[in-house]
Amino acid sequence: MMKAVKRSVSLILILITVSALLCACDRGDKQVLWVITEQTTWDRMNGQLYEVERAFELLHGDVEVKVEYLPTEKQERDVFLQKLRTDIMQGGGPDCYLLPTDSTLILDVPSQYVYTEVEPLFPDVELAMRSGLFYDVSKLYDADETLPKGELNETIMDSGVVDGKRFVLPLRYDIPVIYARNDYLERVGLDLDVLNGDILSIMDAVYKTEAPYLAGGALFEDMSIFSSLIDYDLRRSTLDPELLKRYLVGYQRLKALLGEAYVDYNKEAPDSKTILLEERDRIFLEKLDLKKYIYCNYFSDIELAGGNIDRNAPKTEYYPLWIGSMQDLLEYAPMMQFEENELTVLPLRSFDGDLAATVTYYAAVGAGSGDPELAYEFLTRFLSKESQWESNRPKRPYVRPIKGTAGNTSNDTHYPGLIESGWPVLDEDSLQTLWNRRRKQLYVRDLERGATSEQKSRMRQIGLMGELNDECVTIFDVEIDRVLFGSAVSNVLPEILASLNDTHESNEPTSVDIDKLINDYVENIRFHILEG
Amino acid sequence: MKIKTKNALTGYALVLPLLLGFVIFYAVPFCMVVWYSVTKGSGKMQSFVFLENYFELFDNELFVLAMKNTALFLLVGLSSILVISYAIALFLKSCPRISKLLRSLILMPYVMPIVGTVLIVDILFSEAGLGNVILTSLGLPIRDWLNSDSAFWVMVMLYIWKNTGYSVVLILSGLATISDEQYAAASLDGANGLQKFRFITMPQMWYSVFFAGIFSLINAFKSFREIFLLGGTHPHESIYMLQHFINNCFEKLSYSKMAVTSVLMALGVCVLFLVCYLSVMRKEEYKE
Repeated sequence: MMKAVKRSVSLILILITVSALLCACDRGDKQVLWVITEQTTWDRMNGQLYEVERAFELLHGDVEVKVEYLPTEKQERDVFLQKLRTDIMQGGGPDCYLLPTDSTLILDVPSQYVYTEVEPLFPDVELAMRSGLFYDVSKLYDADETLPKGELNETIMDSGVVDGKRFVLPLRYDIPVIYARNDYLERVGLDLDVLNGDILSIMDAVYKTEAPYLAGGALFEDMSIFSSLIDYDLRRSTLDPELLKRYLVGYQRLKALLGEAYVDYNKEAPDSKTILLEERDRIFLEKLDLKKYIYCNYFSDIELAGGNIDRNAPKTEYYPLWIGSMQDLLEYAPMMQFEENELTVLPLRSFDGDLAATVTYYAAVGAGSGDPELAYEFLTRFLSKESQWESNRPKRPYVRPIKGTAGNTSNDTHYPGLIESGWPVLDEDSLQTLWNRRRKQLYVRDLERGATSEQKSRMRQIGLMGELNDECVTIFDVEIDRVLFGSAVSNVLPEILASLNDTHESNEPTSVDIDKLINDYVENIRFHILEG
Repeated sequence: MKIKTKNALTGYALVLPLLLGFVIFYAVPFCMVVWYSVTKGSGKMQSFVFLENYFELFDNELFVLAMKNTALFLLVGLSSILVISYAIALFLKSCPRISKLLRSLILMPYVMPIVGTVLIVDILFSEAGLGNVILTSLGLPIRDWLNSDSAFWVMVMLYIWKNTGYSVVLILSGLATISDEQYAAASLDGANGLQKFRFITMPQMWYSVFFAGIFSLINAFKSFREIFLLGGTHPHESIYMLQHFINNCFEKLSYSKMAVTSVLMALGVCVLFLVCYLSVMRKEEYKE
């Protein structure tokens, strides 16, 4: 009896061992490359990742790319981040990181965009580089002959280097750009030279004009105006609280000025397209031949989707002054050729006169990666010409494997042609290439939808706009002095600005204590440095 | 001899599960934390830096602030709770009639859910709370209790209120072991209350007080939950504790700072425990 039991137990143990060995062998056949990214659809990086992932798996038959999207639901994200951070601490963690530096994700659920504020995995990429959380890819990068290094923006690429070690590969960047219609500014007496100054001088000059429609465009909301917030070598804040106060006060009163226009608009309830305009400007507009502005009307159709007017819309007659991003070049640069009016395009300099660029999307090999060479090879796909210029806008809707948005089989609902996460780091000849792509895709989009005769007419107008190249705008000739990575402290600014004025409708300044806001913010930076 | 060995083996076998649990879940992770505290970076980027992280941390003003606050909180909180608990326990021992009822009542805050505790603090010390209502009725200016230096004292009070009951029970159990005959004999010898306390109660209570002190120390570290719920990750500076620092360093992936702080905190607690333990053992020597 005992013998039989012993024999059965031995048999079971042998079976378990053999199965375990077989499983281990089976798992060993495919090498897993673990990629961590954010789920966001607006910036199109998820679509690009999907395409690169498939191509990489086809090229390396023995590699399985395991993409994990960080959850956006707070509690689920907290648990996920905690587990991930523990893995990283123990020397494990993902092979690749593919992440935006902004903490506001824009997701699409059927028929609407959802803005979600999330806690970033790395609250400060600069600190993460210095803490040794990324693998040093210097040797791999230097030896890499497949990358078009000469065409990549060197200053931006070198922002991923700390103490001679290359930890991060920037994929997208942005600089604040001023777009202005000269005739408007001259008419209201705003000296064009002011645009060469910092945001405070621009805000002051705009406020003096008392023109609400100018106020809307001058409300720039980005911490790059301070050039830098932290000196990472000395581990101290470089923020000048006095400058921040002047900026907040200037912002508050400009927003109030903008609010007056909204109040007038609501009283009179005129055609929605006259929003933000004073009577004198309305008269001026009536004299304009709006038929010339078919291009901007075409875009306004897109931007007005859902009934909301997007202030990014390139309607120069509504926004004669606009401080935006480099992506707006794709609308303003053609406008500069198409319109008879002279437009100015200038980079916005920070308070110290430097031009600060911000990395908006980056890639990095995890310090705990089992195969850093393979991870590097995967990530450099995002620096190829195809990814930087073409794959960014998929030729057809892709199936997005994202949990919790529109399901596993939903098609990309976005129209192709947008690069919202920043400008490609491969920026040589980028304007020309991106404009050509965009033109074609806008054309295709309307064909897909079944274009009306009016739309066809607009498409012809787009076709008439002609070719563009980097020489059309001087922005690519300007030297970038400093490159920043967005961090948890710089991403707080919109929250502070939101507390300065009442609702979007009235924009009345609130009674918020600005000095306390600044003190809290300075304190926030101090905690960020000392705990990071 | 054979029986002795067998007994020893049985003893080890019985202790083994606990010992294994301790080694796997406490000793090994702690050794790992010690290793992280002398290294920088993670995975393939990890490098040995020896005590550099320690020197850097002592230059970190936030760590110093957290350490000062924690030490002050322990000093004020622990000493207050022991004195108060001792006094209440002595009172309850002298009034056995109401002792049963009070013992249950006094334990109520300890078993109260944390959310309830936080809610009570909010009712009392929020901007429109009872504390400010009283101040207003007295014609005094209102205070922002939780966002000023008062926050520290609010937290000490909360800690004492919540944990006194438990310490009272522990000390009371120690008092119960002292026989009434000793007090009666002392009375016959003409000893007054203070003398009885000094020469009979105190010498026999060291171990119970030490035990109550250890549990109060554990509960003091647990108070971080309340402070976190009331003040968030970055409360007022006066209640920014070492646990805040550790927690925030983890969220910012600053592992070396977190590891160094954890090691120093563990060392601090161990030294405190050892000093108290040795001192108590010396005082208890007479029993042997």
